[in-house]
Amino acid sequence: MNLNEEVESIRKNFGLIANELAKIIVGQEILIRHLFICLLCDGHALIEGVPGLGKTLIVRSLSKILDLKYSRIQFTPDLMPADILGTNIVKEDGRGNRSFEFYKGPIFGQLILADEINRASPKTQSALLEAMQEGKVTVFGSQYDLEPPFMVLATQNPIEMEGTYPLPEAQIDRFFFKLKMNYPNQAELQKILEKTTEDYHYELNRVLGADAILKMKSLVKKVPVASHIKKFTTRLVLSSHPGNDHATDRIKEYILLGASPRGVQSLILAGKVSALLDGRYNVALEDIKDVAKPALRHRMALNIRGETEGVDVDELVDEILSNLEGS
Amino acid sequence: MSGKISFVSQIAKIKRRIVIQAIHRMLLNASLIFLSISTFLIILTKAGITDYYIMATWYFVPSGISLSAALLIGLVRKRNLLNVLIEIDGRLKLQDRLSTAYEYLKFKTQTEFSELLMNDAAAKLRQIDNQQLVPAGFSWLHMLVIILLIINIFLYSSIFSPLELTSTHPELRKIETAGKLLKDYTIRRIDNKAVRKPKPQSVYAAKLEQLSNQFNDSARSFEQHVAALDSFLKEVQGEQTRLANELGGRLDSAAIKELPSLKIPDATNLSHRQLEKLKEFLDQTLNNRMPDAISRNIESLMELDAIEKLLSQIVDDLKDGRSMIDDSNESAGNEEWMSQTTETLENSPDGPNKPNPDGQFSDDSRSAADRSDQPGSGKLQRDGHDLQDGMAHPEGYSDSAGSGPSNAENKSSYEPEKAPGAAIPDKMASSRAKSYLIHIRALTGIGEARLKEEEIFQTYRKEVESILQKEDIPMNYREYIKNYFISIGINTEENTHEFK
Repeated sequence: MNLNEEVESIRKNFGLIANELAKIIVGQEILIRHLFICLLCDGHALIEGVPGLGKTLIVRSLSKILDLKYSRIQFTPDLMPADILGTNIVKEDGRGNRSFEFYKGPIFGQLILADEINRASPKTQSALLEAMQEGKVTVFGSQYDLEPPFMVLATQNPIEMEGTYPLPEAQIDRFFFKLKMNYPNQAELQKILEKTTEDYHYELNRVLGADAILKMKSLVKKVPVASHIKKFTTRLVLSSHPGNDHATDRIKEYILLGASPRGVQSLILAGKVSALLDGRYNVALEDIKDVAKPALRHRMALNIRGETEGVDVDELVDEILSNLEGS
Repeated sequence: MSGKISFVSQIAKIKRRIVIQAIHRMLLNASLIFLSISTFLIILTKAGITDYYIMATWYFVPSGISLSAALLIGLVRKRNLLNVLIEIDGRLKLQDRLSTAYEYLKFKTQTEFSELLMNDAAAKLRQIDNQQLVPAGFSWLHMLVIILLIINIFLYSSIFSPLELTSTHPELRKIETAGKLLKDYTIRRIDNKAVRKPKPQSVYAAKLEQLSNQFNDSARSFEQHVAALDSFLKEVQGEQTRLANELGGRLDSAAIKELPSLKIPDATNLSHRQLEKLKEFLDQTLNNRMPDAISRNIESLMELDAIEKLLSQIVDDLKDGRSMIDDSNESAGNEEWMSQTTETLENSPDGPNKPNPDGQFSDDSRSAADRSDQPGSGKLQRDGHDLQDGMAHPEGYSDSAGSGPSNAENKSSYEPEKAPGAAIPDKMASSRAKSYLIHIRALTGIGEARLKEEEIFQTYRKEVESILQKEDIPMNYREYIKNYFISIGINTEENTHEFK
């Protein structure tokens, strides 16, 4: 398979995945596209949405379609890191000899659903840090590799504040994208009704395997990016900082902390996949703009004023984009 | 590899178009700057701050400034090809294909996608017309240039006449000198009057002064000055004719007509000197009891004659100089003109009795003297005895020297075409030269005199003798008449004897 065919296969595979998900998920095309971008960029996604929109369903369905090992972790206030990572347990053999044996936690999967991640304490949330960044887990001094492709899909409810723990900055920065599930419109709701309350049968087919995903991932980093696109991206990220000269008044007023360097990486990598999904061999400004909100919205921390006034970070990202030269 | 070649050829097309556009922009900027400077200079010239446009090479400086500035702007604003491609990408929604491909081509960045990228970009370029890639639109700069061009055309056509733009320094110097002459004349006239006796300034003297002031107005063109002089000259000539007719009528009606020995001269043709002599003669004849009206009339005629001569000469010189000026003889011509004009002024009516170096009284004007001094013009004219010229002669004698008896019909007025000698043609319709030709007799070309001047004198003498013998002249006037003829040249003993 030559390079051109490989690029074409990415588009084709994405089309297949989207079609399969469409059997059970109504609408949410952009979310699905961004999830696929996350997957190919070796990233993790934080999905935010009110209860009942099908967050868990999407992740579970995706694992079936991609034929990946699926793990679900329901985050609760009493959840401990060992519950996620695993722990050493005492095991006795037939001769009565006892030894510690590592019992793998749910993190040892390929597609991990961290459901309602903000309900666990920061200590437990932090258990995911190494796994998400390094693809490894260290328990009692022993390091264990996670099987690639490894992807954490966390969900959180933006409404409920009681008994929740906001994700620490270090944790949230490790998410490649923060995706928002929008409430379905009337037509979509009607379709949801038809699929869930009537005698609707569907069967999700396996479209890709881990190998195919890894092969596609290897192609992403080779996609050319022009220097002016890189400049634009760096200016975009720097403009999210309230102390930057190019920051708008609203950024200076409502933002406490701008996007980290992971933000730039996310933008470029996501732009590359976006270009490939459009059948192009180069990253365009449109690609960067397309992924700017999911890549930056969770990396721009609002200050007290921004929080109390309920400022929408997406609006601030739009403002930065419109103010940037070359946009 | 084919993708790369294709892309390179497409980029070359864009480069060519960019170069053409850069030149176009440079010329546009140059035009803009040139027209701006030109407008500014026209306004300055109009305001009288500078006379920049008088110089024939005025456009070299703005042209040089414009081209240099446009070149500088072009160099400063020289666009990088990569930036042009980025602009094309954005404008034609090519999603940064061209810029990325060109960057990878230029910096030879090795990637598996390079070939695909260039092939893709070349394919996109092939679908787009060159005109779309680098459009040559009508910008606001074009509009500005058009507006400035219209302003320039308007300023050129309405504010400046074409002749003004071609005015040369010699012409301006001529205007200046003419104005100076008029002023000098006016000043001298005032001074002389102050020395002699205070007299109210005539209308024509006032007009002359006014005309002199107009010559200081730099806004008026050369042609306007000449036209003003021409107009004034015609007016003076008309007034001269009127006054001459009036004088003739007065002489007829006064007791002078009763003088049997003198026929009333045609006052229209009398020169300043002739008028002066006539006045002297009448004073002597009438024992200084000449009527005031006639005296004033003669004085007015004398003044007008002086003004007319001055104006004629200035107009002649201005008009002749305009066609004859060239770079080689410009300075020499001006000097000669100046000396001529100065000489004329020295012989002007306010100093009419200044003797020439030869001891004789000067003629009315230099030009008149030059013409009357030509061979064949007759002794009377050459010696400056013009009064005789102006006097009527017995029937059967023509006004043309040496032409012999003429028809009675031709006696009253001189017709140059019927004269025996070819009259010197004059270019100026309104100049004094033409009217001068009418009353200058025997005005023939050089060496074309038909009769000897002694023969002409013989005729006059016989006529005078016949009058004297008839005793038409009273005894007490005979002495005066004899003295008169002696004064005009018949002063030899033989002639005197003959008269007796």
